[in-house]
This record gives sequence, structure tokens and C-alpha cells, in this order.
Amino acid sequence: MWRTLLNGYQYVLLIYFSSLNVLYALFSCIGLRAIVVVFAREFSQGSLRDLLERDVYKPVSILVPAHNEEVSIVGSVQSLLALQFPEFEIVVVSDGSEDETMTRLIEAFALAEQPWATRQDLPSAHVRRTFRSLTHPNLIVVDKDQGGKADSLNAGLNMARYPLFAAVDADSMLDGEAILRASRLFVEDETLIGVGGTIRPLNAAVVEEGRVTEARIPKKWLERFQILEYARAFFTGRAGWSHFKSLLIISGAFGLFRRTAVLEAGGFRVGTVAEDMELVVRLHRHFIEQHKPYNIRFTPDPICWSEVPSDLGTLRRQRNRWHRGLWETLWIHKRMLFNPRYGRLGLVAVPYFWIFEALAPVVEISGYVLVGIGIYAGFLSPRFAILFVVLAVLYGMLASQLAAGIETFLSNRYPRLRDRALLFLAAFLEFVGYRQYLAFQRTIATAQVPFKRGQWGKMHRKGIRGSTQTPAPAEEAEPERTTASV
Amino acid sequence: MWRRYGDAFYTLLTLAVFGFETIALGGLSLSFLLGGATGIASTPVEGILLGVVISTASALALLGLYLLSYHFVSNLRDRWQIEQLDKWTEWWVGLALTGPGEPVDAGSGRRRLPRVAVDSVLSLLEAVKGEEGDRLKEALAGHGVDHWFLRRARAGHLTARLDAIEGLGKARLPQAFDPLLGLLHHAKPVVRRMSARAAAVTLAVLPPEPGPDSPQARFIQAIKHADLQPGVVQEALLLLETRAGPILRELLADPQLSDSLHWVALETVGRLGLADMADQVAASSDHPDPELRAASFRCLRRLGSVPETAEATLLHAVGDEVDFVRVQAAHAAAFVPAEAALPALEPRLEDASWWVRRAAAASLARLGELGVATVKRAAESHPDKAAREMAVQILLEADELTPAAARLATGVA
Repeated sequence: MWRTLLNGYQYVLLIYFSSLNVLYALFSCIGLRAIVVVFAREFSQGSLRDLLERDVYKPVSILVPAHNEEVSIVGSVQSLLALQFPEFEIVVVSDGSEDETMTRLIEAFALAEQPWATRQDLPSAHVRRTFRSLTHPNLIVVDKDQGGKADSLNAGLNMARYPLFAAVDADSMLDGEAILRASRLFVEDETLIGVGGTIRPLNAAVVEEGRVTEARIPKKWLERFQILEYARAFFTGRAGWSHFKSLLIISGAFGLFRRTAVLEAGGFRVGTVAEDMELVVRLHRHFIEQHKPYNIRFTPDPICWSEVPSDLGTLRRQRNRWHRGLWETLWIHKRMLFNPRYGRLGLVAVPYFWIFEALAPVVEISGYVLVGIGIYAGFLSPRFAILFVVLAVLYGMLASQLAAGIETFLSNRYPRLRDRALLFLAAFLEFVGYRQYLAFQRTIATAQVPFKRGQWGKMHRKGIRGSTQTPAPAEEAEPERTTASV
Repeated sequence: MWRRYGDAFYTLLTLAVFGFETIALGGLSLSFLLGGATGIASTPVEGILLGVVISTASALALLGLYLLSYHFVSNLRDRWQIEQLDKWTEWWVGLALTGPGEPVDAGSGRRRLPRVAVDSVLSLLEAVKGEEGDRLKEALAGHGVDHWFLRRARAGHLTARLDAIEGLGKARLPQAFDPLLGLLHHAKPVVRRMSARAAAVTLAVLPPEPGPDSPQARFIQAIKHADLQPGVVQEALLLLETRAGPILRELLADPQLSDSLHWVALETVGRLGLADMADQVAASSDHPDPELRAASFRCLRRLGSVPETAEATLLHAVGDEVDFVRVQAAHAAAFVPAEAALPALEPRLEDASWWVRRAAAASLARLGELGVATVKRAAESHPDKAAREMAVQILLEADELTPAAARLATGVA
């Protein structure tokens, strides 16, 4: 009996493996084509310059939630102040920080406390104080009681004056043109409500004047593996989903949204560890249910550099949180699963995330166990098992190489030929323990979902180093039109 | 941002690799299912599995080899391109200033210019105008670059087509204008968008012509009938530079103009600061569509002038039932004489909308001493807390109040 069951499960695993790889191949090809055709050609440097010279942009409020970010907050804000964009404000929200976050901000940017006439579009924890910088008039700092990242973003949204807002992590650094490249899409598409950019690991990169001037391969393999993971996630996966108008994730590290759309959907959801994904899924759901035209896109051009974990403990906690967040979001919006009312989202994207993302680590771990049992029990020849594992590794490497290959076309790529060779090697080495470790951690996270709702875990940061540049002046606020009827 | 060579081939290679791998995986899955009777790890299935492993390893090797080679070659090419660009730019500058000379690669005897030469002249053409620019364009046409671009823009692969349209936009060749207008009706949105921009920058350098068949008239007809997003039309109109005025006048004078284009025209007038069109803009200030009323007021605010004939309508709109119309009207009211604007703006300090309160307070603060005094009075003693807070906020931003005084006024510790 048990033998029949195991045999049956083998087939499930094999079909799962084949389907996942075929789908991945499909998204990769479509995503790559979109990058090559549209972004490399339509959004050239020349057309961007035209936009700037002719005032074609929508001003942006940049929201930076920060909880105990004393190590990175000053460098991060300096990098944001150096953005090449004519009209933006930065709203840093200190979420009950207990370290020196506020002190460092006050000293670095000459903050003066002042009262602030805020809107109460969204509920948030009590705002203790508001500050404006005496040296950078477009920098506002909010000091509030701790309420979590989503709560901080809601508080920031209450302060935001501009029609678009960008949510940026305090340990991240944007490319100079990132906001311009993302915001131009909103000018061209009236129905666009959210845009996600590409996240690249900041570790080991050369930072000058608040800008990444050269990408470099980090020394630790742990960080190198994450370069591949990020390339796979952004250059292929999200580009493909975006093409099908089914993008379910815009990274919390950098996303640009139409403020009125987010307010209409109720702002960020407090009490979840995946407020970024949850917001995007809710936006989809809200606009579909309201029968309103909308679009949510990924664009590879605006690049955000983010510090990735360099130690195993931080990585474990991060991935545990990400996976719990995925489950939380899928569970909150379980009504969408296989629901034709939500079109391709309900019938393809959401089921994909349930089956091939949320359940993936469980299937992977059970596969390893099954191979062991199969060999031990004698119904799987070691030769067959080895061949199958080799095939899985080769497929993984193929996917990594494709994604990392897209990075070669970027002007700011890893410059040396040796870097490319190292990435090739990393694509192999990540299968020697790293991948299995993460699958195991994500399996544990799956089991923890009911017990650890909304818990973040402590993150260890090295911090961003940079120096201040003169910011663009903050100009008059421009309220967004409330409808997109014209 | 992106290297534009070898990428299309990479896409094809990836498509081929994954296409083949998909077939291989399909075959493998099928053989697993069919082999169920004899056991999943039966010899024939194992043979197929081995085949798939070998094919995947070969695909990986091929992809890896391409990437390593590309990386190596592109490093060399980047360096070579910088050198060549310098050489060609020097040559084109000489040609623009003094007339034709011997091309850099004259020794090869080729008539067609290398791509790097075309890129360098296209960059130059963005900066060089007038007689020198015309000389460069003649040289481009002499080498058949215009025909080459036009051929690729009409018939090439999508990537080649987009490159060609971008090139035509940079070259601003008169002979490309009509073909570009034709592409505004292309099935692919990206082609329409890029063609609209290229046509606009080309029209910007064409000499003005009167009549219903003029390039200007043809451009207007094309954007009226093309399936373009309002933002794209706005971009195109802004790219017209000095030629935008007459086109915008004609658009706003058209009673049949769609609401979408009407809105775009108002936005563009405001962004270009065409103050002489204030009367035409003000004519939309009592339009039944609130979006157009708001756009009209936003435009007047950007122009920094409100015609006398529109003052009454504007001040009435400060109390419009639609909040975003009130916001824009309140902003524009800063350009109405203080005596008339004050009575309309002051009650708006206690408007239900935060945006209206802010716009009203900001406009009052711009109305000179009388307006600032009104805001200061509101900051000190307005019975509505929200009005008081907004007045303090605006005074702080206008440097009419220090943070310490503001804390005192609002009771913030």
C-alpha cells in the first residue's frame, strides 16, 4: 500500500518539476523579449532627457519607513537626496526607533521640529513629532510610536503631497534615474497604478556621492548566491508576469504607486509581514471588483540597490519572513484562487503562487526525502536518482544563467570576465547545500504561519556609506486628478 | 542603460534552448507516465532521462559560452566604440563647419556609413541646428542613411524598427515625417508611441507652411485619429517646442475636440507657459466636465495669469461642488486681484478637503500683505482647528513663521 502511495507521489513530483520548469521557461522568454524590445529601445537616455527638459513627469513623494536603522539611515537619505528628479519630497518615518536613528537624522540634516497639518486618510500609530530639514527643504521626518512597516507607510502616506509615492527601504539605494524612469510610465498610461523596479544586491558595490558607481561581486558565496536569486526573480519572473498583466509582487524595497489608487484600496495592511505583496494583490482585487481599468507593471530599468543578508542567521530570518508573508497574503485573498471572476489572476497567477511558490519548499524537501526512501527501499535505482538530481541542478543552473545573462546587457554590469565566471560557478554551488537549506527554512516557515503572524525578526545590517549632494528644490504640491476619465 | 547589440540574438538563443528543453521535458514526463506499468525507473525511461540530462548540459554550455564570449567581446567593443565615436564626431564637426571631407574609413571604399558613424552624427544632430545641422542631414541622406532607416522602420524586425524610429527622431529628416505619421496607426503601441515622439521632433524643425495639407495640419489629424494615451500625446506636443503654439491654438479652437485631447491641450499650454493663450484656456473654465474645468484652472495657475473675463467664473469655482476643481481654482485664485480673491478664499480655510484648505492658504499667502495678514490671523485665532493648523503650516513653508513660534501657536511641546 505504502509503496503504491510513494510511487504515485513520485509521479506528482515529476509532473510538478516539469510544469514548473516549462512555466519558468515561458516567463523567462517573454520577460527577456519585453526587456530587449521595449525597455532597451523605447526608454533610451535621449528620451529621458527629453522628458526632463520638457517637464514631462509627475512629482513623487518618497516614503522611507525606518525602524532602528541607525547604521544605514543617513547614507540612504543622502542617496535619495541626490536623485536626478526635478520635484520630489522624502518622508522618513521612524517607527518607534529605540536606537540612534532619530539623533543621526537630526544631526546629519539639521532637522527642526515643527507642527504639521496632516491629512488622516489612513489610520496610523500616534505621531509624536514631525521635523523638516533646514538644509534640505524637501526632507520631512516623522517620529511615531511603533506600529510596524505598513503602519509607517500609512503615516507617510498621510504626509505625502504628491500624486505618486515610492516606498523605499531604509537600507536601499536608488539609481539616479530610477524615479524618472518609473514615473514616466505613469505619464504615458493613465490606468497605471503601480510599478515595480529591479532590486540588485548592494553588497560590495562601489558607492560614491550616494550613487552606486560600480557593481562588484561580493566575496562571500552567500551573497553571490543571492545575486542569482535576485536576477532570476526580477529579470525573468516578474518581467514575464508583468507581460501577462498578472504581476502579484512589487518589492517593498522599491515600488512606485499612484497615491489615490492606494488610498482607495485602503492603504497598507497592518499586521502582515508581506505588506508589499498584500497591497499589490489587494489593488488587483479592488480594481477588478470595482470594474475599473488598471495596470500594474514591472520595469527592469529603475534599479534599486539593496543590502542583502551576509550572514546565515539574517538570511534565515529574512526568508522565513518572506515565506510566511507569501502564505499570509495568499490566505487573506484565498477567494481569488481558481475564481474566474478575477480572470487570469484567479485562474493562473494566484494558483501558480499557491502551487509553485508557497508549496514549493514542501514539495522540494519531500522530494529529497522520497529519493532517500526510494533508494533505501529499492524501488528507485541510485543511478536513476542521481540522473534526476543532475537534471534538476542543470535546470536550475540554466535558469540562473539566463537571468544573470540579462545582467550582461546592462551598462552597469559586473565588469570583469572573472565575475561572469564566478556567477556561473555560483549557479552550480548554490545547489550544494544553499538551496536545500533555504527550502528547509521555508518549510519551517510554512509550519509557523499560524503561530507567527506579523512577526518580523531582527535583521543585521552593515549600512550604506555616502555623502550629501544638493537636492532638487521642492515645489508646489500638485494634487492628483481624482478620476482617470480623460 | 542597456547594450543594444547581441540582445536580440540572446533572446532567440534562449527561445531555442527553452523551446527544445520544453519538448525534452514533455517527452520525459510522457515516458514517466507510460513507463508506470514497468516502473518509473525502468531502463527505457532511464535512457530518456539520460538523453534529457545530456541535452540540458549542452544547452547550459551553449548559453554559458555565449555569455562569456559576449562579455569578452562587448568589453572590447565598448572601448573600440568610444575611440571610434571620438573620431567620427571630430569628422562630422568638421563637415558641419567647413563642408565635406574624406570620411574616417574612406580607405575601405564603402558608401554606407558604419553604425558608429551614424550614432555619432545622430548625437550631434540633437545639439547642432541651422545651416550646420542641414549640412549634416544632407550628408546622412547622401550616404543613404535616411532610406536605410525608413526601410527598417517600415519592414524590419521589431527591435530593428524601434532602433530606426529612434534614429529618425534624432535625425529629424523632413522626408521621414509622413512615414512616421503613418506609423502612428501601427498595431503595436510601442511603435505608435515612439513614432509620435519622432514625428513631433521632426515637425519642430520643419519650416511652417499654411494650408490644410501642411505638415502641421497632417500632424493634428494624425494625433486626433491615432490610438495614443493622453500622456503620449502630451509628450509629443511638448516636443514640438516653438511649433506647439499654433497647433495647440488649433486644437483648442476645435469644437469637436475629444475631451481627452482637450485635457491634453490644456495641460500642455500650461506646461509650455504659453501666456498668450490664457483667454482660450479660460474659455474651458465653465466646461460641464469637472476634469476640464480643473485642467483649465491648473493651466491658468501655471501661466500665472487669469484673464479679467474669467475672474468671476474662477472665484465661483473656488466653491465648486467637486473638490479637485476647488483645489485648482483656489490655486489659480492667487493670480486674481487680492480684494476680489480674499472673500472667496478665506472661507475655504475650513473646507472639508485638506487639499482645498492647503490651496486656499497657499494662495492667500501669495496675495501680498493683505493675504499674509489673513493667514496669520487664521493661524492665531481661527475657530476651526484644521484651518489654524493649515495656516501655520503655510506660514512655516513661506518663512513667515519660525518653527519655535509655530510650536507655540499650535501648542506642540
